[in-house]
Amino acid sequence: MDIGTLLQISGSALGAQKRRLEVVAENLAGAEVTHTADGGPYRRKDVVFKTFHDHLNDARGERAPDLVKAEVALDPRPLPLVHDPGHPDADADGNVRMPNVNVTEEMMNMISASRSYEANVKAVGAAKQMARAALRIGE
Amino acid sequence: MDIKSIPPQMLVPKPIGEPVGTPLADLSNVGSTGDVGTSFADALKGAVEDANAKSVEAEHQVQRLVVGEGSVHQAMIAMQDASVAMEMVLAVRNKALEAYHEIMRMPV
Repeated sequence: MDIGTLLQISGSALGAQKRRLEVVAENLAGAEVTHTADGGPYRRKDVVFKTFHDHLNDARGERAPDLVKAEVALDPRPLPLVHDPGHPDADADGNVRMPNVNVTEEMMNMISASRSYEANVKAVGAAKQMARAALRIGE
Repeated sequence: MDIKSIPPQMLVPKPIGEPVGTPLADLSNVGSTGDVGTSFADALKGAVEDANAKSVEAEHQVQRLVVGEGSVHQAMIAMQDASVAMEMVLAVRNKALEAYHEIMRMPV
């Protein structure tokens, strides 16, 4: 009865979706930021999901499950130029570079992240139910 | 998350099946050496230790959560893992007690 592996897989996916939601929150918070510590406007971040193996499982000689992690990457899309002469960060022509964050897109990513998180929670619940059902064989 | 930080030897299934699976001939020396009995005790002890390690781990995860290091799902998963391991031990214990009572009820 090794539900530990199942929990490990779902746990890694939960961590990855949580990271994704953090990135969405950062993007929403930075949607109007024209001035960052590096200078220039905020640049949208995105997550790339990658699989990795836990070396502990390799050492145990078991089939190592694919665990999931989220890596953060910058969105290369161009920063839009908005005409706003009253803005303190406006250039000589009155144009301001705004962040390349699309709030609608971030809302969609947020829903996607929370639904994926729920799906993985369901998988944890199913693993637990299976273990309990197995223990009920003896009753 | 540290279901991973449990030492690997704790996670390797204890050889519960081994003594049970040995030929019946071995049962002839049950009374003298208590070989089969010791193995069951060892298996039960191993399962209890495993369940204990998991509940210690769950406690550790909850502490991490409280001090703001861990995450909710890690703590919950560690707790569920511990709870299932404990249920496994309880199932084995109940079965063993049931067998004992069955023998006690035997008319002499």
